[in-house]
Amino acid sequence: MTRTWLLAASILGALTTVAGVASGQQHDVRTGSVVTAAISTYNGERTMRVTGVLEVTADRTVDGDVAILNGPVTVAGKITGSLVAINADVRLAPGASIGRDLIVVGGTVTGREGATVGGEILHQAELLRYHLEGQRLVADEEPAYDEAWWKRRPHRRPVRSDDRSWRDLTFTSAHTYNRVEGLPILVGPRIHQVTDWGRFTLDAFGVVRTAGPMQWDRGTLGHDVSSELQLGRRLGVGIGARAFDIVDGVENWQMDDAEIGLGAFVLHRDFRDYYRRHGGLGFLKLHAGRDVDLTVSRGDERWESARERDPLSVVRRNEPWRMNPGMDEGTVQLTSALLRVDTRRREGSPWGGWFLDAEWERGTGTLARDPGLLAVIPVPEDVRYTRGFVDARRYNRLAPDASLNLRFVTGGWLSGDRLPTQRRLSVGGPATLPGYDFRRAWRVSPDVLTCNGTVLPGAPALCDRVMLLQAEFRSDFGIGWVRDDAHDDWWRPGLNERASWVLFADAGRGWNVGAPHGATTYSKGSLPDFSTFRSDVGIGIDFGSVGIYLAKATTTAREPVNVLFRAQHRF
Amino acid sequence: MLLRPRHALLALVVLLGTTGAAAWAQPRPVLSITMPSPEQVTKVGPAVVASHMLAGRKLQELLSSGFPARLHFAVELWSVGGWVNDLERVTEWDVVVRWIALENVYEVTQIAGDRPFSLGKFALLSDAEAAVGRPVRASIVAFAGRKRFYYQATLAVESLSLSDLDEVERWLRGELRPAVRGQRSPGTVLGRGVKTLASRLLGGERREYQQRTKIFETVGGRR
Repeated sequence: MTRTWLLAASILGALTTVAGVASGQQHDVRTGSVVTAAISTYNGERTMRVTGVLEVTADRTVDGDVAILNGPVTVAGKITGSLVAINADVRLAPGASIGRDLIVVGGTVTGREGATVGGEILHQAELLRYHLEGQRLVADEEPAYDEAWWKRRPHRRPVRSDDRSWRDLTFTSAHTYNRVEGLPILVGPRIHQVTDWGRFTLDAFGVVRTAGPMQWDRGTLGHDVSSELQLGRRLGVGIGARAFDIVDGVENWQMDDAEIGLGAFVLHRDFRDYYRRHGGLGFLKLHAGRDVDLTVSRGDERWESARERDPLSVVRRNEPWRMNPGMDEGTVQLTSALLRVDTRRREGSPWGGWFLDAEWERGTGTLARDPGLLAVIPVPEDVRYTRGFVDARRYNRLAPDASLNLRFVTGGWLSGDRLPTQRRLSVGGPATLPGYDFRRAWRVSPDVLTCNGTVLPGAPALCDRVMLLQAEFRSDFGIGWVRDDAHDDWWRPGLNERASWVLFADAGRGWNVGAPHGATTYSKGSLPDFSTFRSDVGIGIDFGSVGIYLAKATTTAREPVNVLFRAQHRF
Repeated sequence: MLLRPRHALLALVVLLGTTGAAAWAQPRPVLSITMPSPEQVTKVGPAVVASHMLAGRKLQELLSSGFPARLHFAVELWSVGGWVNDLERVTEWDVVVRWIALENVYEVTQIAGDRPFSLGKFALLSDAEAAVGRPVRASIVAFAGRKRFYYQATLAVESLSLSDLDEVERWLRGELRPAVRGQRSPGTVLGRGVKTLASRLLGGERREYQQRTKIFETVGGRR
């Protein structure tokens, strides 16, 4: 069968050659026939095959057909047969001679004028994807476009570090900076073993906190050791464990670690509160590709307050840091489930897709509640609570350079006792309601942003529940005044994304759950009226990694316009 | 210093002329997208060509320092709507260019659908650049139906992914060893390394190109 096909192709090639000898002209032949002719010649029994550079010097004559992969090929001498160049450029020197056809697929031909081509010149500009079966070249079939959304997932990275095995001894920062730890340094071994059935990972880090005063104690030293055994590559299940003595953030959902660190180090403003966690947990993780995973965990840990220390900052170095609020202290057993869905894509185009973080947590234990302003020694009490949290976002692309993005966040108390301070919530500030200052709610009465947390030292978040709605429309400027990619020899720190202008609006509030009281406490089955939400509108310019925004509260006239710099997208 | 308006205008013209002449001195990176013939629009996708993409002193410095250059192509098929346009289909692929010091060659690899495909190894950067610039036929096709479409091609060129710290570590290992053995001045290597790393971390070496086709129509039955 194969021999018959080859014979037919050869006859076709010969006929083509005969027809073309007289003319020696270039033909834009149908793609299929050029590829067929090229492959047929390449696979010919007597064809000389070369991968890479080939140079036929002026004093050299090559008998028979020559086929080149990748090239380039330079011909100054003579080839008695055909020359096939696949994904290769052909350079013909004056006096070059090709006895039969010149077939080029995925390459260019230069110097045609001074050379002699006995047969036809067949040319297909587009690249040919192929594979080799021994010596034989086989063209790859173009994959049919699949409409199924779950098969349409674009890959994000050409080479991912988690696709290969490695192990090392690492010394790195935790990629954040805060008023409790300064710059946490992680030191320790990492093992990442990929196998046919899945992978095994181990990260065993010692933690050194650089905020002064540095001492040989738990304020300076900690650890974070985690390990996971994952069965299955794209779809699978993982089982793992983690032991830790770390400083963790309260309300990590508002801003990411890098932006928190930048604000603390440069501006002396830390937009997060912290507490100490010491214990361990085990987890079971179901994952579907890199987009969806569900993690169920069970842990036992001790919680403690963490006091602010005195790390360096670029400005306001002599001012005191905002006090890190006191937290509830004691031991808790936590059972949690976390569903993460992320179908966004961000490779050469604006965000598009879904993002969902949904978390359920049940905690039981003994906690001494932070007394706040009361001058009493807190008494440990049994605590049992359930908390939920949802952060759902939809990124809609309306055109290649315009998008409408929506976000809905809600969460808080679901049942049981009052939530620990570590698990309470707030809104207001750069990431949620930028028209309102972060933890400065004195112009907002009643305080539906922190639920009266601002009257306490450190202004902790004290709401049992919050709800936040955010919308933004963003579009490219469409003009090149910010950047000119035709030249890359200029310094462009931070402006490595196309600039877009952003219009946004936000609305949100927090409340407590209990016997209805005033405008801050609602029964567990009811929601505050939307008219009680605080809202803002704004405009900004987003350079991708740097953005500047103006935000104005619309529900509190006395709030001045806020000017904000963000080191990431708004959400 | 004060200039009369006429002199200022003259100075501006000279300045612009000088700038223009300097810009012509080297080839500019160009991304182009070419539609198939009208009869072929429902059978084959557009051809995408990225020319002179390795031009530029900084990118070449980064390449020779061991930072692979990554070119991420995305071609989207959009249909034109009344208020908003709809993203119908997307295809993406990457081309990675890296310097292999042991062989003294640039290796060019295309990665489509998680499958690597070698475009060759080249001793000359210009040959590697030519391999990067080979036209690629996008595998998405407009479907028949009474709709108006356009293609949008986007190319992001970067020398290293910011998040890929393994690459930085690999670079640090590979770059500092010769210096420690005395084959290269440690000061020079460190200075160049810090400068290069700072350049990458601050995002100075990411370029982006976009091209869009004209709006076209397809006729015939539903897809």
